[in-house]
Amino acid sequence: MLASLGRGRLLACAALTVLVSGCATPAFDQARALHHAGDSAAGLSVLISAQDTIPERDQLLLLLEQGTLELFDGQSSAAARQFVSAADYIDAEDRISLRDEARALVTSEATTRYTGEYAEQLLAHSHAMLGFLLSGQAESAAVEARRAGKRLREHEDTLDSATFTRALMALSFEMAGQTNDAYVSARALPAGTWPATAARLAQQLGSSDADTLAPSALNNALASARGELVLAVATGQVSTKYSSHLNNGLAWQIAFPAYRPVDAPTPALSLQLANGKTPAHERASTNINQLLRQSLDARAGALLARQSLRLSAKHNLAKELRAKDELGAQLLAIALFVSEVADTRGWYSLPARFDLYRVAVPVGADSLTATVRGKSYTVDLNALDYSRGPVLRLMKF
Amino acid sequence: MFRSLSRSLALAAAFASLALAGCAATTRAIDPGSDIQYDAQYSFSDKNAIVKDLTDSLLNRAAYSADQAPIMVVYDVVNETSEHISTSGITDDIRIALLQSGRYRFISREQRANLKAELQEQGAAAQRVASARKLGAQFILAGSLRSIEKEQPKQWRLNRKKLVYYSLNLEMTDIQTGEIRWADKAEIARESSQPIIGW
Repeated sequence: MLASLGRGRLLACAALTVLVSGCATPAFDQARALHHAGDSAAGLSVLISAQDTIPERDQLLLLLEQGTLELFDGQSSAAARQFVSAADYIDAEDRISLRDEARALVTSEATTRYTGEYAEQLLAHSHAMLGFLLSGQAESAAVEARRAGKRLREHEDTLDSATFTRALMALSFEMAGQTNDAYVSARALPAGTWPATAARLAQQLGSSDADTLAPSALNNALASARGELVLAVATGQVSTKYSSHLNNGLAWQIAFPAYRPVDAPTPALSLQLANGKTPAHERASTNINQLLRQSLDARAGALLARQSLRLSAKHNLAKELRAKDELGAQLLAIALFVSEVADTRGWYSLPARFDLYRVAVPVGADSLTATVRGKSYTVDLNALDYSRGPVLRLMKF
Repeated sequence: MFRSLSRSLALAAAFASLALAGCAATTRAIDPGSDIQYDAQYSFSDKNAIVKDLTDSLLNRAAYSADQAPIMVVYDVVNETSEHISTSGITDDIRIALLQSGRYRFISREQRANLKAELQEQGAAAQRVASARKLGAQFILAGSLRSIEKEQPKQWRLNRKKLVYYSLNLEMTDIQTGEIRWADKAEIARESSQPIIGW
């Protein structure tokens, strides 16, 4: 049957496969590079002008990257909509696609529709929460918090270090006035994370837990503070995936995606008021690189099964052709061997680390400077309106 | 040979026609009151059903004659579901149904907007009441829409089943006394099944 298809056609298919599987969209790389260099607006322009050329299989990445760049460009409401669309896309694609499976069987995972690592799926909700909170839509942020909660329950062990998202859930519920859900989220944080928030929420609910939670410096400071500032801080650049190969000469080859090692953990930032003092604060942090690695590890079994199946399918394809056309079979085997590359796509505009700080703004303080690795960002504390509750600001280092 | 070729062509044409007919885009008008569900998610049919249940309940149990019709302020229903639902559609429909009954009166959209802005600035429940009172309102209608979702646990199966329960709770509070004069809820529970394997 294969011989009747013609050597030419088969080789053309194989060549196309090699091209498609190894092809990254340059617009993504360019936009991400601009974003990480501090020019999210320019990155956004690149992405928007190239969006018609992005293949259907990368639509999720387009939504995530565009949303991130919009968020850090100050277009928080538009960003929130992108992330809601991304989360909806992930839910809609949570099924076995025969088209993708058939295509991937003779080519590689890179030809399938990208649906994200579990951590990326969760972070789509976190970014939607940030977008809604920054644009004053706390009730919509609470909706995303509930969706994030569902995602966390689905992959409980894999996402257990998603502290930033859990803290953001608590903040979203709190800002939407849904105190009970806020308290439940705050209590789900790891021990020692945001104790003042948990104590304050328990007190608001009249819960007996309030007595068991130790008084904190932050709550004492907040009692006489001008207001509360919440800083969402993105630091560094997330690690990228590479294609790791296992082969037996030219006989067969299996490719696995792996994250590049990280030299050193991204440090936390320091906070300083204009008078040189550090304000009372508490922090919730997530190492995004670690979260992504755990997500990839959780898929390792499924990846291995698919790789074995593909190896067998490719082997049989070449074997069937060999009976009719030895040279064609050899060329096809080479093409299939070369096409065996891992799916290294990812949401690479993510930071390496995300922190959520709750800071008490003392009366009389004019500015707050956040510093990490010699880079600083100053917030004018007099320009903020504290009358409607905690004020959220997003910064990137 | 030609005869067999023309038969094959005719068959292919017939199949192509069928396939194209199946893929053609269509549009049809439907009755807004009909119950149409494509999945378990909240839909306009749900909105119509819960609004009707609750306005019927309110008009049956807390009705005033047309000459005594009190002024009511309707707050936005708080969305406590896991879906992005515009709850202003619910409050708008409730307001229309009550207004058409002639048993309640409402303040204008501009005044409502002013009140909303004031409430956002003030926040506290006591101040909300004071603001509503300023507008001459006698009652406040407020509530929340909640949902509970349950999915089948992960296991070998061809379909994914999902149970969704929605509940809209409303209560009418007398601004003068703080007494809750009426409260009720409307519920919807639905199960849906989606294939796990698709094209």
